[in-house]
Amino acid sequence: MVSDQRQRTAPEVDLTSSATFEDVVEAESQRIFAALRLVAGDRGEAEALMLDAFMDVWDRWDRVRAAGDAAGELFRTAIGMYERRLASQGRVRRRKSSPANDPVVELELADDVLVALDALEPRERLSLVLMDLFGYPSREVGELMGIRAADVRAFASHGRAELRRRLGTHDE
Amino acid sequence: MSDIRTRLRQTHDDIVPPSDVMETLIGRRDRLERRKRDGRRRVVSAVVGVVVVAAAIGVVVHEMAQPSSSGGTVAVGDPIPAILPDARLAPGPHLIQLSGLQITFDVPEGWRGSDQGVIHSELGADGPNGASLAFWTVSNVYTDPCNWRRSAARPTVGSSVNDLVAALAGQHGHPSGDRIKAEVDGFSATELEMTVPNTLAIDRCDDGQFHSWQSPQGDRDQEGPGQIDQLFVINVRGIRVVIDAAFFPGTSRANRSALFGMVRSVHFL
Repeated sequence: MVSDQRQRTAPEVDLTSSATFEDVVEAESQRIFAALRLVAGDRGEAEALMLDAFMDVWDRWDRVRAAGDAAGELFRTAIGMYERRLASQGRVRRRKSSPANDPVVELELADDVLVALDALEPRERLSLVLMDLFGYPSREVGELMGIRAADVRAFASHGRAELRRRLGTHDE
Repeated sequence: MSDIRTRLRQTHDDIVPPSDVMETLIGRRDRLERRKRDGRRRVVSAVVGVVVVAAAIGVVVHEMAQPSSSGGTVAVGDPIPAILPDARLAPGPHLIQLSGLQITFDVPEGWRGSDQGVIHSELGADGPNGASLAFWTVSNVYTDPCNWRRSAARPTVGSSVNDLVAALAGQHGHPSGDRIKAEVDGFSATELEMTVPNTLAIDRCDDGQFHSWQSPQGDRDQEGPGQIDQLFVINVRGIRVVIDAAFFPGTSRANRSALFGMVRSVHFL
């Protein structure tokens, strides 16, 4: 991946300062949940983080709305919360779900990318998703994670290689 | 664009989010506001108690006896229904008493009351796919839950959260996971996952039962092999509370989520 190909895919929706909080919830729930599901490796963890982030943004909604980047602020808040949980707990609790009687889980278990991603270490997953999917430069990811940009690149590189190995794919 | 990014993007777009996010957020906000109101009401009660000592107990008792409810449409002061054993529960906040504590939590559709919490209405608490939630105050543990008749800890387990967690984590034949710092209703908690071994021949245990701990509510005996107990051990104003979210490997994702949703909604009055 080269820098000019990077495109920040989250947030994509430009919610203006006239948007209500409900507008943001409506527009961003899928996007923010999906991002958190990828980085956290667990639906329950992702849901808890999403709700916490929405509540945090809601608490300071006047300021967030005035700044005109509600979706971006939501994304940064949620990822920041995840990183702080990683830092405080050493790891994020993984409540692996059972496929029994749960079509959503069955769908997830059938997604080889998701299964391979879930097998990565949390910081590898976070670095890889933020850099490769959302196009964040390693410097910004490093600031968010409180680590050096070089370490972010190393995490992402290792995660990328592991993902390719598990998926049997090669960079085009 | 790399193949990895393409595939990540596709996976991202296919992820199904939870439903009713806004409703959940409104429920959370209502509970937060209710707590603030409860806090103010307790302060008022305390002031009244200082001024009119004789009336103070009555004021507090009245406050405690009529807790406000959560949920956006219920007025402050409306009573929260108590958990009744074996009664099918309407969705919404419910109240349970435990060692002088009053505890509320939001019960979703499909659960019925038990002596100390709730169990799934149709699947029950047993394997292969049951689920239950219970509240305990633990007085002692068994060092060997299978041979429990001869293994009550001596001396008895200490009174702190760490004492109990350490004792549970050290039980013979009852594996536990990492100790995780958590928070329940603003109180620091330690989360510990314990699993009854799948291969356990429970019939060979004392009385064919697997007992983890003793409590004023009675012994906790697990429902069967494979059962997972996600324990939240909390010091609530000097009372050590254990919340036990119990399920099995076959318990559906939805029912597990319901269990942890109930834990997240817990409020100690």
